[in-house]
Amino acid sequence: MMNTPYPLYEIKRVTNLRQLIDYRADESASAVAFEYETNKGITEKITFSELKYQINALGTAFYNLGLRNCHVAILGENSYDWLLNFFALVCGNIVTVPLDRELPVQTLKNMIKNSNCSALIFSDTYTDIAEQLENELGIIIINMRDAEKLIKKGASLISEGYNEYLNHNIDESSVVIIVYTSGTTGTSKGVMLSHSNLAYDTYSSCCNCKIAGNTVLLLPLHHTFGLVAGVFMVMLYGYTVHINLSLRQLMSDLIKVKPKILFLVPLLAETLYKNIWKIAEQNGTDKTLADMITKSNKLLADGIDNRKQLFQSFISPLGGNLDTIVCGGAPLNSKYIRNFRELGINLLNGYGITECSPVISVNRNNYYKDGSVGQVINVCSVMIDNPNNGTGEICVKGLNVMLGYYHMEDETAKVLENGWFHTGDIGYLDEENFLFITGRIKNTIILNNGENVSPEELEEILQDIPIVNEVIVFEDNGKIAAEIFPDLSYAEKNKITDILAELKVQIKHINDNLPKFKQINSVYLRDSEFEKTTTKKIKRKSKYGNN
Amino acid sequence: MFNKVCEILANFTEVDISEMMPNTDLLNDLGMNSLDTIDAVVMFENEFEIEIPDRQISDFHTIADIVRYIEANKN
Repeated sequence: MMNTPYPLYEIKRVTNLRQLIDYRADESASAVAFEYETNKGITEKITFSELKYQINALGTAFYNLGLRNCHVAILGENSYDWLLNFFALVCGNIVTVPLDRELPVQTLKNMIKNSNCSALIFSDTYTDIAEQLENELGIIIINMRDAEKLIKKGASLISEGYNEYLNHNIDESSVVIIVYTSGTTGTSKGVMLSHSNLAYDTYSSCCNCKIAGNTVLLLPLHHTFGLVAGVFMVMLYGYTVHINLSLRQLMSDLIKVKPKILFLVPLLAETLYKNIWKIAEQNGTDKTLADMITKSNKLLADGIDNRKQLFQSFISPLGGNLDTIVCGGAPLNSKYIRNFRELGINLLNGYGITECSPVISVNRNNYYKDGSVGQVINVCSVMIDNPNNGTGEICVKGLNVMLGYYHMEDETAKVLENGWFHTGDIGYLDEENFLFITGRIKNTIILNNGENVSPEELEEILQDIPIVNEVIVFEDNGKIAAEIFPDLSYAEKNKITDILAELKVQIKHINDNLPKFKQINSVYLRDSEFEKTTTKKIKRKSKYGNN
Repeated sequence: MFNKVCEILANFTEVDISEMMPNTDLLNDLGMNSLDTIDAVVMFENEFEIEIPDRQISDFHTIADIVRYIEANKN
């Protein structure tokens, strides 16, 4: 198990998404690009050459319908139809606005209006919303299911010599998608990304991170992480994306598809890990698993790696072939990196933000550091602004940085200065170009003595206490406090009756290794989980203190 | 119906059934995440022999929301 620097992976450089489709259709025409299970239990497979054919025919039909030089929104659950419509739009330079289907109708309406969409492509599930928006906004609505008919129409037009769609030039540097940020940092903003942004971020992420097999797509497609990492990267490497149509089929899809790699947000990674233990408990093999991990760790320390054979049966609920997980989208507790590695699964943590298309850094398959979000990908540079002991705001410059926020020039000017995008995240780069995130600027606690404390940095440390389930750190009358939702099942198993007393003992040990100003002075217990945002991030709001 | 729904939810939370009320919030009071809710929905479907579309799941905030939906859609 080497963990040393090595050259970047070599992969075809693409500069726009149509090139990605063309390249794969030329190189591996008969390989399966996408597959999914129909409601009749049949697996549909679409090869790269069929994908290209369908995109061109559907795009031609769109042009013929008058959809060109315009903005089109797309609303639906993950599906092949979603992806096909998306590619047909963007490969025709039609500005596409992927919408979050869980948002209220009024918010969707505002987004469609604000992004000047003249049409909405929707899935069956959202017919009622589409019809409401058609009436209220006077937009054209197209059911994704109509793609089949439109492909026939487009193919017939192409055979008659209608080739405007096929012959148009891709404008690589202009906006091609507008993605609304989730709004955890205030009003939702429409991030404008170009073909060049998306293609270079895909290419550059592939140079850092090798994909060696098929995947199951579990991330929502309206997020750039789902699109770029979960789809484009896998396509560039020429492997199959199995589209999971509902998270209720998560475990059965993993068993059927036997993915080699998964792209996950922390909540999903944690759930999969807990499932391994849950199943071991159900089978009465949890003690064996714990013993085997201890033994395997000792063998590993002596340079003997038997993890594949030892844990094969335990990781079979994840398909059995899984050796890599790429994680992003929210902060990940690094204990899961160690936990998965003990079982022989390499969890590569990464960092990105929609405004950077989104990937900025990712740990490499054979060169990684726990606690870090990896090495900065070569499409961009990272600068630490206004550093204090090397730590400051992470700023990014490069081909993956957005064009700006749609119709929000003032907001754009606030975050883009001389080409440097100010992420609002705080961190530092080590001597090997590994990036570490320590917190968000807006969460930074400034104590009355002028010292700055990143609550996330302390939360990461507190999360390592076994009895801590969730925690937030905040300012409490000029001092640092922690509010903790304890792990009650851990307390019960270990016969801990006075949870607060136990926490105080553990926190004292932590404080012994912290500078005075960072020490945690008070602890509050809560009896329920913290409220979360729709992207499953804890809402940083304590009922105690001045936050 | 309410009791049966609570029994199923008890598989996903440390909160005792006796403390569950119609206005108990799945996220804030029971500490369930979105994936727990999906698993619970599969159990409701089997128990009450109904189909609950994925889109409906995000509208389930309280126990009363679930009970109302099942009552309205059960044959």
